[in-house]
Amino acid sequence: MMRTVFTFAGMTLRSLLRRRTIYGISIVIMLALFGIGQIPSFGVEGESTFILDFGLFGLELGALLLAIGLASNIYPRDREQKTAMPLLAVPLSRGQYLIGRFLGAALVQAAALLVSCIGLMLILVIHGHAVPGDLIPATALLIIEGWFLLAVVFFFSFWTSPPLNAPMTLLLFIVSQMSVVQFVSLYPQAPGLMRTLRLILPHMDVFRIKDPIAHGMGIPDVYFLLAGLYGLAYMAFMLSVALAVFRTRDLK
Amino acid sequence: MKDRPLEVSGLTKVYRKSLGMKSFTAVSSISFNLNPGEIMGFLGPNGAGKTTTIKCMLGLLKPSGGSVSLWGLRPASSRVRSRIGYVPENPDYEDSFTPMEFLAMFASMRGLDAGKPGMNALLDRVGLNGWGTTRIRNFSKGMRQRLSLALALQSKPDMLIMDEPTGGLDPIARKEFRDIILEERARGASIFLSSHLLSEVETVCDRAVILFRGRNVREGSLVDLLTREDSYLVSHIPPGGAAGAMIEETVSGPALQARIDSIRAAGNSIIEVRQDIRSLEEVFLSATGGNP
Amino acid sequence: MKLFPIILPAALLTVCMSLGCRGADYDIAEVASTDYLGLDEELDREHPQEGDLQETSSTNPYPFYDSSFLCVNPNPPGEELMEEVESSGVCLHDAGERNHGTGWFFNQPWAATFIWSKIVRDTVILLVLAAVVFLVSDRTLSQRRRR
Repeated sequence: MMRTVFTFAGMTLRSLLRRRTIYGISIVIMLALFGIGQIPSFGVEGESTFILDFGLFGLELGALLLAIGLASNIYPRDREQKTAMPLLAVPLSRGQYLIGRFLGAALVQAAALLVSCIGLMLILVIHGHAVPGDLIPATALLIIEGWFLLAVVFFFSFWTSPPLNAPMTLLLFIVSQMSVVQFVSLYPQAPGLMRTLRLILPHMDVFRIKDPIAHGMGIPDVYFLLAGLYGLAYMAFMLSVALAVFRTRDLK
Repeated sequence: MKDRPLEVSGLTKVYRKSLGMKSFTAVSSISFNLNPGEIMGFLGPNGAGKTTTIKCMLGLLKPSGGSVSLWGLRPASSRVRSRIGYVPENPDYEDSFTPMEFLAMFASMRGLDAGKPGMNALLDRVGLNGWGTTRIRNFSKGMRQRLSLALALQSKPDMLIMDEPTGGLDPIARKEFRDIILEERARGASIFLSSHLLSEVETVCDRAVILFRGRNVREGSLVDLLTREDSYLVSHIPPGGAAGAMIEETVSGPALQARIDSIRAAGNSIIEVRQDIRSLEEVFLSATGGNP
Repeated sequence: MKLFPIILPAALLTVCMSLGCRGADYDIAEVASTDYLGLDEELDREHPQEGDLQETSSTNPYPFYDSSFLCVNPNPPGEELMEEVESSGVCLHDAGERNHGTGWFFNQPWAATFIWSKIVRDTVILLVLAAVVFLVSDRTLSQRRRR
């Protein structure tokens, strides 16, 4: 079974690399890195802090945009072009299809973020700054955050259209950054309901490690492990819900 | 029966509309079976419910009622999927890939040996020799159908489910497909063939089901379907007449003996008495009332 | 029926997360102990008076902090800057230390170790829920196809 999944993931990887999507992603990454590299020209104090702050923010935003760009149209495209039918009729179960597509997209996303991280390191080195030791585990944590967002996009893609998928994912990303107090303040007339809703939503502040790293504060390794496991667990939960929805869908 | 490749019993599929729109019954209580080593034709006008039925058989659609079982197992179970080959109607594939890449991936996903000689032989068999490394985006419709046949045959399936596999193909290509179907039957596979081409069904099929507006209106062996019930063709020649003067007349069953006696009394020589056969087109039109 | 695969997991997640409702909340300002938040008040009491710049508490609640990386102001502020600071009423605190102005920075899960057990607990809940949803949807599918 895993061989089937990995083969299909490889097929997804090749398919994504052959589509123009990857060119757009590469251009955006290069432009972002170029922009970050211009920070020293502004003559700011503590430019390494700025570079890291903007760089890590860019990585997090990049993870979100990559999730939407890579995954929001995978299943809708397969359904409309009927390329899903020969796959789902014979070699693949729905679970294998979902996991295979997810793994392929996740690999592309992780590679793009790693390349961006290396670019950020190069910018720091070129401008004579030390590369913080936590940058690699921070990037790994952001990759896991990206995978979680990818699972959310897949979940939405099984019951919404691509134009609706992107704003819903973005909305989820934004409200999940809010604290309970901030979330309740959106609709203070029903604090109980809002608190309950906030409990269901993921705690994206677990992934908020940009600030301490940019300001030179060390984060214990055990925290990276805990936060990573939390992200993977939420990703698994979203994938299981996505599969539950997918299994109810008719392939007309 | 657990060894029966396909059993469909009371299958119903209702497409429920949202927002207060009326639901649509695509298939209503249809039942039929496919026996081992048999080729079954699945006929019906456009919109009769053929593709819906096939998708229910493959687990791509959830039936609203009734049941479908393949070798006694539920559709889309892993044991069923490993034994069937599917040729979809208007197949399409990721167009950035080549046939060889697709065959290699499908072989890997099915746990088969993905050797190049085997894949080349398969492409050769379906008439795609020399096209193995051309991207699918450059393929015509007919070539994509040939590729889908190759993918279906790759695992030497116990049952082939084919949804209008020769639609849009030229006569030579259709003959090639028919030959492959017969070869597969000779290998022992059971074949479920949905087609608009009545001549094709008449040539290769052992049994047929005719669907009309979601209902099963005729079913049986081709011999039984094509034979007019209680109707006979009597061929006779008048006394002293040449073979060219042969007379053929249709006589109903109850009147047959009396007519034979009267022909003999007139001194005519009876050449042949046989059951009246009609064409599949006549059967189809009479079953569907000549309407879509 | 079509909303069932969405409603069931959402309901399960709500129920599970609601167990110990406040405890599942990572809003540090809400769930932190007074000892933790009381540091702000302590530091406020030690806040330097006008014209009398004092050292703030040297106790660093974040022992893993390493300031050697920072290059914001490697040199002590000069006399001119100190006069400007005193006259404007702006206070100085040791870099990397929680104070009344940096609660927003430190009220994050990475800094609040008492929240980490809740992260572990929610991870376990999510994994269990993922397994439950997967098994329920698989069984529902099997039953539907056997009908």
